[in-house]
Amino acid sequence: MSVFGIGMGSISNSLIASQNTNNINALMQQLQTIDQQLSSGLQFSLPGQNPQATSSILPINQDIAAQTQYQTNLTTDLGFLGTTDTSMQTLSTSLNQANSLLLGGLGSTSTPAEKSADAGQVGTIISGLVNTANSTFEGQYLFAGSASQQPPYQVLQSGAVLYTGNQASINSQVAPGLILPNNISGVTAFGGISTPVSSDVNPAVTAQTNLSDLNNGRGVPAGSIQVTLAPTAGPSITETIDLSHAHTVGDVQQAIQNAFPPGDVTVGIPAGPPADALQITAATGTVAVSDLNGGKTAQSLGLAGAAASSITGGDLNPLLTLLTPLAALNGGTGVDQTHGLTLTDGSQQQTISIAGDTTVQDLLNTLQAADPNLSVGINSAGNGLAISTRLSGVNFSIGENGGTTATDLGIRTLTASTSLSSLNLGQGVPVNATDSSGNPIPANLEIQRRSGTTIEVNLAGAKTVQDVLNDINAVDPGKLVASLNSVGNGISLTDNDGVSTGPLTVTNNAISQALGLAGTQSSPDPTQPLVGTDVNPQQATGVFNLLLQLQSALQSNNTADLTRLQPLFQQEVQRVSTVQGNVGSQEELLTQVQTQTSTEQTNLQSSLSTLQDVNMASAISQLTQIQTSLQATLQTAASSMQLSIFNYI
Amino acid sequence: MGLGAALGIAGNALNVFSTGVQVTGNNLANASTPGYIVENLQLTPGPSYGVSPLILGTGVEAVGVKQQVNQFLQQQLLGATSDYNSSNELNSVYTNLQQQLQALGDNNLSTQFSSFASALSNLANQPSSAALNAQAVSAGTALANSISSLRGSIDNQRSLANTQVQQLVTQANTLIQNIVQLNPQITKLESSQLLQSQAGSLRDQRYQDLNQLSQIIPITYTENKDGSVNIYSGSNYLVLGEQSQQLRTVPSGSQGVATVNVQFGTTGGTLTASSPGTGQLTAALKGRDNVLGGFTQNLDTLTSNMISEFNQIYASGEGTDGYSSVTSTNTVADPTAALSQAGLAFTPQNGSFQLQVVNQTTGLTTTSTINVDLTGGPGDTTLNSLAAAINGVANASATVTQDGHLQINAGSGYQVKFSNDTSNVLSSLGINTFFTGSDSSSIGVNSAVTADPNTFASGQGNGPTDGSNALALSQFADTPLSGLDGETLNQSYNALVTGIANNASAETTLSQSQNDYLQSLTAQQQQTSGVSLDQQAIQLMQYQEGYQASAKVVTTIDSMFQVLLNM
Repeated sequence: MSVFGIGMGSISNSLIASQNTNNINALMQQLQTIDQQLSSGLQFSLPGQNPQATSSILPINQDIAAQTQYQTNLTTDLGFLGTTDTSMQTLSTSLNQANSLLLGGLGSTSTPAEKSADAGQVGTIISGLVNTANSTFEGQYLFAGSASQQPPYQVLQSGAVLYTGNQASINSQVAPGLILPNNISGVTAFGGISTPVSSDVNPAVTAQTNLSDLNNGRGVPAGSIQVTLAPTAGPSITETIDLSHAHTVGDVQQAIQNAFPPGDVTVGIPAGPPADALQITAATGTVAVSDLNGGKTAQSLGLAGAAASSITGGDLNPLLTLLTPLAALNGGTGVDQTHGLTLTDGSQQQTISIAGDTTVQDLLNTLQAADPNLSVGINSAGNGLAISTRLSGVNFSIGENGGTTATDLGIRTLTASTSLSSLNLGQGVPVNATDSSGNPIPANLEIQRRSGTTIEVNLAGAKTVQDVLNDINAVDPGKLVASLNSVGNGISLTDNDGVSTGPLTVTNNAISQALGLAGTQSSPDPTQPLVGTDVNPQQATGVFNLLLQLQSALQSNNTADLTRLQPLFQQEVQRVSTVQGNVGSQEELLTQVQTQTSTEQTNLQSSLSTLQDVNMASAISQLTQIQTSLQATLQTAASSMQLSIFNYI
Repeated sequence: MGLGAALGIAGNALNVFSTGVQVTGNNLANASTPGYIVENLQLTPGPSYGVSPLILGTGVEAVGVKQQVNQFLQQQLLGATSDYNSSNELNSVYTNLQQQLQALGDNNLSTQFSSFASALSNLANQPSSAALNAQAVSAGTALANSISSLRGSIDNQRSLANTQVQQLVTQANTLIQNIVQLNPQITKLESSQLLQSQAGSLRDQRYQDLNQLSQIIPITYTENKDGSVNIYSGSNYLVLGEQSQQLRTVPSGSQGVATVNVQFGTTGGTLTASSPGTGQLTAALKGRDNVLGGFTQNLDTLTSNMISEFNQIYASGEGTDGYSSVTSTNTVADPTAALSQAGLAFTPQNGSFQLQVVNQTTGLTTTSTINVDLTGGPGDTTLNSLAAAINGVANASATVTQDGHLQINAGSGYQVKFSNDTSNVLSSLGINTFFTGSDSSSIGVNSAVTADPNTFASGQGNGPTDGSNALALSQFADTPLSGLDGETLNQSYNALVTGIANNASAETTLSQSQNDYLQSLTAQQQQTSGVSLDQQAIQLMQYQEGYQASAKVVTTIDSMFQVLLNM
């Protein structure tokens, strides 16, 4: 209410009237404000009524909205993980059941008929687990990765179990800066994909290579470089070149070359192989390249260097991408596209031609089209292909078809560098075996040569397939030749001394069996090799593959297999309990975050309340005060308006 | 002389006192008339004459009726009226704006940001849910709608403010015309009189007109000897002797709404939002252009940054469904111009994007890189060359339509998807984007995604919908944007609202203090020029008693005459 002095002199009635009106209006307004505050519970409704508080309230409101969403996310995530946990418990129980069946089968007391019945039980366990692995929460398949609209596991007619999910995480934000997955993929929980055999295929650098793919994916930091050209004739030129908008290697080449008179400076990729570096060359004289202001652009491109007629960088290690041309693999040598490769995936055996493929993507699509049960992609290191089977309970292998295609692509499942210990599903080759009293058993490969002589090759100490090949090839160099099968996988043995035509036999023993080489080649043609079998079939990891193997071992009363499987079951139980532990700790973490979030939200609400909410006690006492003064004002007004000299004349 | 003269004096006195009662009666009658200025009967003793050796008076004379007015106070009052009306006007503009924003309520721009972010976050949690896909699309549509409806109501307010400007100009012109007409009437009425300010009711009328005019534009006035007034607004005259000038409206810049500024008809000076001075007219211009227009600008900055940043992330993602045909939402005037020079609202840069062609039967995907060369050389990518590059991809084709849209079609049995757009060409052209338009007036949602919510780009190249893009998008309101000087959308919105709050609060304080000042001046004016009933009653009694006394003189003279006649 405005207060001002009343001057000397007469007081006009309009002054009295307007003063009274003003006073009453002002008080009514205050009354109205308090009334509004009390009914809304808020001190103010428009930002302009309290800008300071508003500037705090706005971000708090946004924080509260974010925290509310985190709570929603946490609830959803905990729902997912809770159901996952339950499924994992079922898995653990089923595994233990299967393990007892395995132990029962190993014991001497159970008959083949009983084992066969046990195999039936294992079948039931498998069906149950497939059902568990296809669990859903809110309509989404938990173990399908991101392909969560379809059941990820299905039992094929052949009995094999197919995994159609992927390994993607579904991430969810649960706190500022904290993003956690709410799923574990089927591969992590139940397994179902074989571990891919993959090696570095060393892609070459081309003009189309993205800068972000260089240096194993670390890329090239954006920045400017300085290039100094000192031609033999004329003054030297120093140019600063901004490469921050360069996107590909070609952009870099152009940007540098365009900074100088045409032809004076050339940036190229030396043909190699390996064609994996950049080179800057001066037409005449020297060129020097350096980074500016502590940047690392030139250095990361391998171009930084002191004045020289040409500077050549090191291996730029570009990532293998879907669009990498096959011709750029192996440092630019490319791959054998004439022969193609052989693929065994369970009962499916086929020869695949890659003659029409140009890029990695074409190749992957060719493979996928040939066998839909494959999982095809690029390995996690980004330098090789990753081809594996999605079928549990079958053997999988990739071999040659008379050429070097599979080896060139780095996906042959049995190569010279394969270690002996990984052969035969991890049982290895008993090159360092001992008898029960601890004495070494001689690791001899016994070969009856075409000449009729029998030789023994001692393989003790051999670690890789190459070691075995070397040991055999050392016996009669050039005549008794061991090599990898030219078609498919395995070891081939040729005995061609130019004279003998008798049969070539490798005696059946533990070593020759483990190498897949036991057998006889009785063809009189000495160029005909004794072709060994594939002793490195790949199988899917995880529980379904083990159970299917157990089922077939029990069915066929194969004690050796049962013995082999026993430690694998132990490992699987261990693995599942680790995964269970991880899910548990993930749930615990989320619960912790949930508590934190709700505490934080309470704090925010209380700050908001302090800023925004009306203090009822003081508002009500203010209301009473205003009511009193309004009453007084009304009374004063009424009596002052009534007073007039006219009443007395 | 003697009795006859005395009778004359008394008779005249009776007349004067009757007039006095009339003046008092007029005052009393107008005690509640707004703008009425109390009038006084001015009395003076009659001229004296000498009858040697005596000098005798001739009684009382009424000189005139004078308004009781303080000219200095009147001038001050006009200034204060202009000031108060100006800040009051702006204050109400701010209040309206704040009510539109609902910044402290449950339904404002910020809560719309939050609910869109929530919908995106929910989708990220369960990316294969079609229901959540649809929810994300509808939350985004709600956000776009609330921005454009906010812009619509601000535009509406601005156009109302513009109408107000036009009405105020008409009112001011009427008032100026009134004063121009009142001036000679007052001069004429008072010309024969000695005292100024005798033309009471006409002057009351003129004071009221001046007061009303001062509400509209700031004025000062000077009163001439003949009773007329000259009126000035700043350095421009409005009434000068017999001349006057009217205000008129002239069209000004639009900013979405056609607006006018004000010009002095003769001298040509203009009133704009940046003019100094107060009054409702300038305030209406300021409210329209600075407060509401400024807000519109800020809203546009906020919106265009949101559209461009959101679409940039969105364009590199993919939905559960691809497109069998997709048409750019934005057009290019010249398809042979480099895309960075083609006049797109959001400029693309050197880079590339990947076009994925998905075989619907086998599910196999073929990815191709489409390079967008914008290094500034002659080989820069144009819309035509972009279409040609896409045409080079198997089972995909592209055409540039007559009206400058790019249309990409997948072959029969195929769909196209997009990813890894480092060039921002997709978001600038409006292919695989969510929002359309470039500011708050044009924002909308791409019909491709409203028609099929399953094209909502929630995933990022990890097979079917891994939700990673939805997760990245859900951060849209909390990601620092270079276009907003490193502020996030939420921060920028907060700064915008806090700025309005500060200005509104300052304007409220100003308006209150000016109201107080105006009230105190009005009180002074009412004290000086208002009718005090008590004072008038005393005056009335005075006149009555004077009348009674003069009548007594007449009866006394009468009885004296009787004595004389009966002699």
